[in-house]
Order: sequence, then structure tokens, then C-alpha cells
Amino acid sequence: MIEKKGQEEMVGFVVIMLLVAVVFVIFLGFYLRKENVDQNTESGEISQFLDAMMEYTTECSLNGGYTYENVANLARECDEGSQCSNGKNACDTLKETSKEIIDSTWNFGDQSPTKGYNFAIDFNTTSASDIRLIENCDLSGAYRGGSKIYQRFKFELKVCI
Amino acid sequence: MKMQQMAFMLIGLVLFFSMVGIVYFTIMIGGLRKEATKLQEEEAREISKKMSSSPEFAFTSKSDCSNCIDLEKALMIADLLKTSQDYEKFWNLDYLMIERVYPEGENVECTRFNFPDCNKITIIASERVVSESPAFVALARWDPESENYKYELGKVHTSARKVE
Repeated sequence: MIEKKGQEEMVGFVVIMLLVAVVFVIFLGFYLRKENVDQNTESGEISQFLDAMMEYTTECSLNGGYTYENVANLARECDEGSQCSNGKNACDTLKETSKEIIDSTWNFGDQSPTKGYNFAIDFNTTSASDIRLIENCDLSGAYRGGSKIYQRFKFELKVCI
Repeated sequence: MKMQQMAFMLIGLVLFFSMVGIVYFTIMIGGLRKEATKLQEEEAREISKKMSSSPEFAFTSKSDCSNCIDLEKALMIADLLKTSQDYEKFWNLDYLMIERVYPEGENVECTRFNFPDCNKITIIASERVVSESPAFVALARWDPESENYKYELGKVHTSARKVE
């Protein structure tokens, strides 16, 4: 009988290698799936953007042009149903200004790393309806988000990537 | 014969575990890059926080914007650095530029003669290409038309000194 111990050893070795490879691929699968789940992250950059945006001086004055409200104060005036001296509603001015700032600051587009955005101001009251701006961003994919609280209002921006 | 078989098996094992090691380190390094980017972003945010609270840039004319950068102060510092070496190493940065992002304005460097019809103030210039980390800030300046302070959206671009 021809001894085939060397061949048996090789087969055993190959089986062990295959087992290790399968375990490794399973481990890799779990690891990569965990990374995908973590893609919807809190972004310090966006929070900082919201911080700076809330200080921006808008075109809304409540005292005939003597002083102009910043975005944060305009949110409060919107909640109170105020009217700007130029006849425009505070909420409309707030919505337009927010849209202009976000559109100018971030470079959105299909070829760009940022595809679209989802911006919201939650007033948490019944007096003013929440402001929502959505451009090409349905939040089912990956996005980076940030939020800022001013008094009882919450400013939130999510940028789809 | 057995020694030969053993040798082949050992070589096979070494090759196999080397490949496993290469794949593992590739994944680890990918994670490190993400971590480095995150740290760079945090560093930029810390620098901009530091700047907006430092006396050289802090907006102190009014109390309603404690995190604002005073654009007029920044312009004076930029002018000062052109003639004096005093502040060159103060911030330990290779590159420092303040850019007005909104409203956009003319895409030119600010001087005393064209301010505020400009959109950037380069405080520390760098001749070589740098990896910069921008951070959003609020910019404050006096608006003679409305006779009040105006707050705009800006970015601070910085690049830390590289270890040589």
C-alpha cells in the first residue's frame, strides 16, 4: 500500500486554511457593516456652521431700520408672529435667509461630496409652524448632521453625502 | 521526505498569515486615516475658538456676539505682520486666512482701501501647498450704511506648522 500521509497532511492543512478564511470573511463582514451603520454621524463642522449662521444679520428690522435682527432673534420673532418693517413676515424672511446662506456656503450637486441638505427649525410651540427646507436629501442614505438649541428652538441641519 | 513536507507546510503557513496580516493592516490604516481627518477637523475648530476669544481677534465692541471675530482687528493684524515679525510665530501656524463666505463679496484680498468690498484677509501666507482645515466663524464689522455692527458668515483657514 502506498503511503499517502503527506497528501493527507496537505489536505488537512488546506481544510484548516479554508476554515480560517471563512471565519475571517465573516468577521470582515460584521466589521464593514458596523462602519456603514456609523456613517450617519454628528458633525462638529455643521454645529459650528449653525453657531455662526445664527449670528448672521438679516434684512429684517422691527424698528424701522434702526437695528436689524440676527437669525437667532428672527426665529423668536417668527414664533411671535412679528412683521418686519419692510412688510415681510418674519418667518418668510427667516426661511429665505436660511436657504440663501446654506445654498451659498455648501457646494451641493451630484458630482460634489455633498449631495443635498435637510434643514429644520423646530419651534416646539403651536404658534409658529416649523420651518423645513429639503433639497435632494431623503436621509435614507449617509449624512452628517448637527444641531443647535437657541432658547426653546432647535436648529438642525443634515447634509447628505 | 518528512522534513521537506514540514518545510512546505511552514512556508505555506507563513505565506497565509502574511496575507492575513496585510489585509488586517490595510483595514487598520483605513481607520487611522478617518481618525486623522477627524482630529484635523477638531484642531481647526479649536484654533478658530481660540482665535475668536483671543484679544487680537475677539469682537469686544458689543456684548451680543462673544464668539465673533472682529474683521477690522484682523485687517490691522494682517497689515502689522507685513511690516513686523513680532506675531509671526505667535499662533504656531503655517497659514492663516479669514474668508467671508456669506454674503460673498468681491473675490479679492482685503486692504484698508477696499474694505469691506473684498472677501479674504490673509494673515499668515504660505508659499507651498498646505493641507488646510477650515472652520466656520461669525465675522463682525461696522456697517456705515446702517450705522450699526453687521455680522456675517465666514471661515478661518489654518494649517499647523509641520514638524521638519
